[in-house]
Amino acid sequence: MKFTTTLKIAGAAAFITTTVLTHAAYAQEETIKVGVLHSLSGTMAISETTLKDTVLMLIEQQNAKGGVLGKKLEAVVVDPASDWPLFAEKARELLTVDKVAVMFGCWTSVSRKSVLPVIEELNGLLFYPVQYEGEESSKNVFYTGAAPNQQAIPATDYFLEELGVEKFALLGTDYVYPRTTNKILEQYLKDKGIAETDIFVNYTPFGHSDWSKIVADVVALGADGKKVGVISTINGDANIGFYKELAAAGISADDIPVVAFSVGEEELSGLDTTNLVGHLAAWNYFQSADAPVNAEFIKEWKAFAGEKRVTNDPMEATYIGFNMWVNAVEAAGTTDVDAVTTAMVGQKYPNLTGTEAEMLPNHHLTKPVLIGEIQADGQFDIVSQTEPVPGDAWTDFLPESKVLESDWVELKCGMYNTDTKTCVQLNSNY
Amino acid sequence: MQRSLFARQPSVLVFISLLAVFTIVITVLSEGFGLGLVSTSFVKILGKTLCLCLVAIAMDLVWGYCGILSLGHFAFFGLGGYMIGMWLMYERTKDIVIASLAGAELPPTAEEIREGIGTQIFGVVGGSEIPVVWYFADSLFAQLALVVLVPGLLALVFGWLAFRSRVTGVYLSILTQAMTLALSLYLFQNDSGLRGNNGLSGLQNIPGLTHLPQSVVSVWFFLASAFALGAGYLVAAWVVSGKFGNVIRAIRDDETRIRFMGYPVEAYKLVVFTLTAVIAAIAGALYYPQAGIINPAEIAPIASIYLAVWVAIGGRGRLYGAVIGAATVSLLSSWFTGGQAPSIPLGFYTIDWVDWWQVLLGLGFVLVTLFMPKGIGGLFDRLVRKDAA
Repeated sequence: MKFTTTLKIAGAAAFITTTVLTHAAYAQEETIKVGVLHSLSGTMAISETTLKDTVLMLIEQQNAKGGVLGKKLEAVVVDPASDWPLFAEKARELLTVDKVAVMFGCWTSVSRKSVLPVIEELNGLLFYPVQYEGEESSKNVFYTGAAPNQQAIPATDYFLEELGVEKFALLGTDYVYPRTTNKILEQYLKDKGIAETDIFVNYTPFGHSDWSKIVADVVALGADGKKVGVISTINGDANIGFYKELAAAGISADDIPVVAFSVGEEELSGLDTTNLVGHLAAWNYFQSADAPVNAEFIKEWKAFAGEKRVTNDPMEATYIGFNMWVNAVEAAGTTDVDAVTTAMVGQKYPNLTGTEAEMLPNHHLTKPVLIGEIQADGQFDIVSQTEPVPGDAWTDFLPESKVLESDWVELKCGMYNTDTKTCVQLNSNY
Repeated sequence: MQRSLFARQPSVLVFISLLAVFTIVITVLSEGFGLGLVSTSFVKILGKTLCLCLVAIAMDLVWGYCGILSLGHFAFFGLGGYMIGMWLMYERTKDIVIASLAGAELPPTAEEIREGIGTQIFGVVGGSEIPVVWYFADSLFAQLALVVLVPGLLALVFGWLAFRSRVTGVYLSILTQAMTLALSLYLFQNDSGLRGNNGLSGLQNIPGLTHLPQSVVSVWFFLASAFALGAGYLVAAWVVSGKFGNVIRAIRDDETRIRFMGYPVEAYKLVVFTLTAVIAAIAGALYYPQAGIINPAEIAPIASIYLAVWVAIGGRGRLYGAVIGAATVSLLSSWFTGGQAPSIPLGFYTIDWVDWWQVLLGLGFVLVTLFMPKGIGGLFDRLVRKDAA
């Protein structure tokens, strides 16, 4: 029994000492620390590892240019392992133990919601690079991915105006992003004069594989000869089965076009695209975008990560966010979160599609919306591109959020009720 | 007269004193109450680890002592978290809603407040109605009761059905896996009323205590977790010693023989199964306010399998073994995911830390099971025996 005691105490002591010592050693270097909070293991690793590599590449490039404020940037990479509570734990560790100046991270909405209370409590800074459902604007987060009005609404407009779609099937995986997006789209379509009976909404669990019934329902929707279009917020693996079933039912993209919001270059690479060719996706960036800055970015990425690697929309969002942060820090002359946050709003940086991104007072970006047709090689043929659209944190198409506004400059509030003229809350909804 | 619990289970006294010393040392070193040498995030990790140790004790009781390899005990852990999470979320949101309505000309009605809470909590999943399951969410007392009652009842009904039908061994394990899978799939649906995939979040903000910094709250929860672990250890030690303990061990070793001897085997198993479910639920209710978020992924089947692995690594059939297993794996994972493990350069290829740590952990599981069937805790046996000789 005596040994138990000794071993346990020694173990605990060793653990504490190593933790203390490693951090003491870090503190001696004169660097600016950048936290990278992306899952490197677990289900999300396949998507998020790419973003970790992107941040590392950007840091390397920035250091080659002399760093920021004369100091080198140092990446602190952690692995929240696709485990949502672990995101909160790691965020706290990054902010309080590693004392990072900024974090780039999160992919899923639930991971962001897990991190939110921590960064708001500790006044951290997070750049979130993925398209999401909106209905949020935190003082401590900059949303460099698309809000619904920068992806879903323009894609629906394309269906209505260009393809003459009259009946809509809104298919999604059962979680927050599809639920909110479809709720917004349903209202939007009704406002556009589409009858409720002409809108088919369906949710399936994660990893759903049996699509025959749903595809049959979608086909049946067009039995009267009206053109049917599918707006897909189907996530991950489930997509493979869905497109396969469509092809098996003999439906081509001409018969029933599908526009997806979660299918990009990374998802398509290494996949048999036969069943997907001709279908659409809406993003703010495609690798095929024709701009010199994009060609340069792709070249650097391939040199950094490998010839076979592709670029995608969240990478562009990371790229814009990172560079804006660098410029904001230079402008503020410090990495202090409040100063940088103030300097961030109004930052302009060329995006990779040839136009310019601007950070708005609601902490969202202006972004052009691109619609691309899937090619056999897993790339997209861009068929439509809008002017940069300002991101709207609170959608105008839902009654309860129509009255809400976010403005961190004038109103100093992320959730301001324009009816009652009060700030509903300073912290975010999580 | 029976000998006292401590005499029958000498490890209890050692464990409790160690736990007490450990708790005091960490509290003294913490940021919230002492020298500030141990960061708040590490206090939280330790607090969570103590909760995992508690659920591991429950697992050891049901598997190591009673021979029921339940691969669903994490479901009870999660349910406990959900029950307390509902109160935390409801009350926190209520405070926000009341504060935001404070500026209005007329004081808000109860109906307005309820509506506001509904929109705040369920707005993100596209609703504003407060589902029926949230009926008691405004009462801490009720939700605390539900922490025990909901998992307890589920375990009672599930156990009664399973044991009455004499489902044992691998079939029972599969059944318990099915239970936790079904529960997690159900909770994944938004229609379940518990916010689907997003689950309940922001649980670290305790309503009414928002003026306290997390450095203080974390220590309180750490202390509560330590107390719960100590109490749980005592209860478990008391259960396994004495006649009841002998019977359940006998059930583990030869169920049929015990039945022929006239013992109501099913009743014994049901008691152990339900009791451990309740312990797991209490551990969960303490764990999730420290983790900050609970969602259905937490009770995915793999979580319960991990739980069995911890107990196997630590050494089943000995309570401190469960604690060692859970603490070792949990702290190691925490350390590895913190990015402090180095990558191994081989010249031609670099093995990334992200890759090797998981392989290493997996390999560790296999090696311990193969070469140390009694787990890490088994090492102490040898030592004690040598001491005696």
